[in-house]
Amino acid sequence: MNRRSAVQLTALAGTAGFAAKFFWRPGLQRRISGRSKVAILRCTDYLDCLPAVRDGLRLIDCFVRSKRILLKPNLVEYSPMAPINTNPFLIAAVADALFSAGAASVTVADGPGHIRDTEMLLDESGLAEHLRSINRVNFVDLNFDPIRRVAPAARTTSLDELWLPESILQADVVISMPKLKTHHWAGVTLSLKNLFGVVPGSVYGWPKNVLHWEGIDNSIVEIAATVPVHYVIADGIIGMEGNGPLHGPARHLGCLVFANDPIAADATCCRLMGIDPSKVKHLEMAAPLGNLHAPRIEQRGESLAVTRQHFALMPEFTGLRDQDAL
Amino acid sequence: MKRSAILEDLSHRTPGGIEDAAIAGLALRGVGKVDETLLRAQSSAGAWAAVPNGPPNTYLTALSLLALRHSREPQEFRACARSLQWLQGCYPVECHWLWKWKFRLVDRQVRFDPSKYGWPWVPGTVSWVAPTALTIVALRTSEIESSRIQIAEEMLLDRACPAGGWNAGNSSVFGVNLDPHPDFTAMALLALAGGPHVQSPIISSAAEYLSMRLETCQSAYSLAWGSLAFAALGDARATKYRRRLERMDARGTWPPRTLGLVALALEDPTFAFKEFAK
Repeated sequence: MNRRSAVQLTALAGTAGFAAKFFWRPGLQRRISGRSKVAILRCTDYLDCLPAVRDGLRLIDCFVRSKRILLKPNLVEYSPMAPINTNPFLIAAVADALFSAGAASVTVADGPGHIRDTEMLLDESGLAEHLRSINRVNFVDLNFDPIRRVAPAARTTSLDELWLPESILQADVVISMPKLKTHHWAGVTLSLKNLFGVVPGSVYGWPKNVLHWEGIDNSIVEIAATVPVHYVIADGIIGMEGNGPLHGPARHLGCLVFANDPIAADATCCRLMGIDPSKVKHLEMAAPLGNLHAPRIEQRGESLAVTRQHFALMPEFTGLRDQDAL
Repeated sequence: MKRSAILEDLSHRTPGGIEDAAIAGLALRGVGKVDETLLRAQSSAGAWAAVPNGPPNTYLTALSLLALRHSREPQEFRACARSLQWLQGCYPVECHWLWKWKFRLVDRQVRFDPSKYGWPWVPGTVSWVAPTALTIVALRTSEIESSRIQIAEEMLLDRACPAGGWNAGNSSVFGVNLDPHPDFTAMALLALAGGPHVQSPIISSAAEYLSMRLETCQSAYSLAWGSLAFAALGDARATKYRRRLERMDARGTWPPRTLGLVALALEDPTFAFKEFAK
């Protein structure tokens, strides 16, 4: 091989390597075979949500016997004026129901994106008191949990590694517990966007600005493909519309959503909010992980059409509206 | 709760990470040697990360530098010099003219002046309040004279919430004012207390916010930051929060970083970052 050929070969290999890094995407690995189970349960009062939680877990055949469960609620920041966080009564009811169903342990864990003082957030939101009342449940601040390096599964970001908390990686069953809210960057924040909270602030900062720079939709898909979520219990009793996730007005939807597939859960929550899930970029991108389309979802409990309300959308997101539902 | 008991507790704890080690190092200075983990964890470039081979972290680097600076161990001077060099070479993305114009012309949902910048949490992102505030303190403590300190102070003033205090970074998104947080507010006040803007009305309104917010706050972490900030301002309200911290006794549940901050706040007089010659 002469020098010219060697240079050409090196240049070709370099170009191929560059192209592979930026354009090659492994296919998202499907996490569910067959149709997904989703249940919508009517519930208008947090103080009386335990029966609905038990029914919902049964309707999606949630199996937790002898398992170590990690509940990942949506804890952002506390305001007495706005329904920002997954309600603590609901979190406590879910923990109670899981113990009744034979769970070996239940841990509540989150890593708030804007708040470093998680002790203050737990105290002021009332969650600390609820967890104390159950006694057997502990809270893990994922922002400061021991961490491990894992390979990103979707390659939708340029990140070569993701540092994730051991508590998430070691749980037998992860249950994402979002609150139904619109979101001023991502359109909606549901079980997938809720996973931003598993990325540790100790590594990435407050907020987890690296994820924003990688593109919010890309990052949501990257984390969703890397972190296994087994079930979803979504707080739709009081949601948030408009300028969510912090400053929108409350929307009383009066339901809880249960699912054994986060894609199907978020698709159903979108439909309940009058949003077409296939128009939500991160959901459309993450769709191969589960079932996005209605015929692939086994709908149980309340009728979607009866429960649906049209959440107000910011002008940037009016295109997400489900025209068929109007 | 006595400070001596806290220090005793802290000296037996294993740090959960670099932040724990750095704050414990500050609290235990003069009593015990700065944790060797700090020196071992510094990268060859001079930065600290949350984990070995993790992304270099400005906040942790500034905090570790402060801990080493106050330890006064001669072998740590080289480590300090390397971290100072790394901090001074770390720029947020809004410094680049392209991003500056993008923020001015296209990304208008977040209100801030991109010509006023500080430090990002990790390289490749924009400036935020906590890493900027801690880096200002670290540079000033090392008696570094840099135009970046002045620009960073202006950045903090620019990002202040209209009602007083600081959020994590910006004060307004999509036309809505963000709420301030006590710990970020305290850090920003610590940084600005030693500078030329100490008489600014932004400082006084932030101090008012912090004082009001801490009235109902039960968290030792935020109370300790608040007490350190008021002490740096020479404000008598520091004593009030010290007294509240003295009455708390939940140290068994506190992580080392909280224990260390409380120990610093309970020093008599309250701990202040010293200035050291280069």
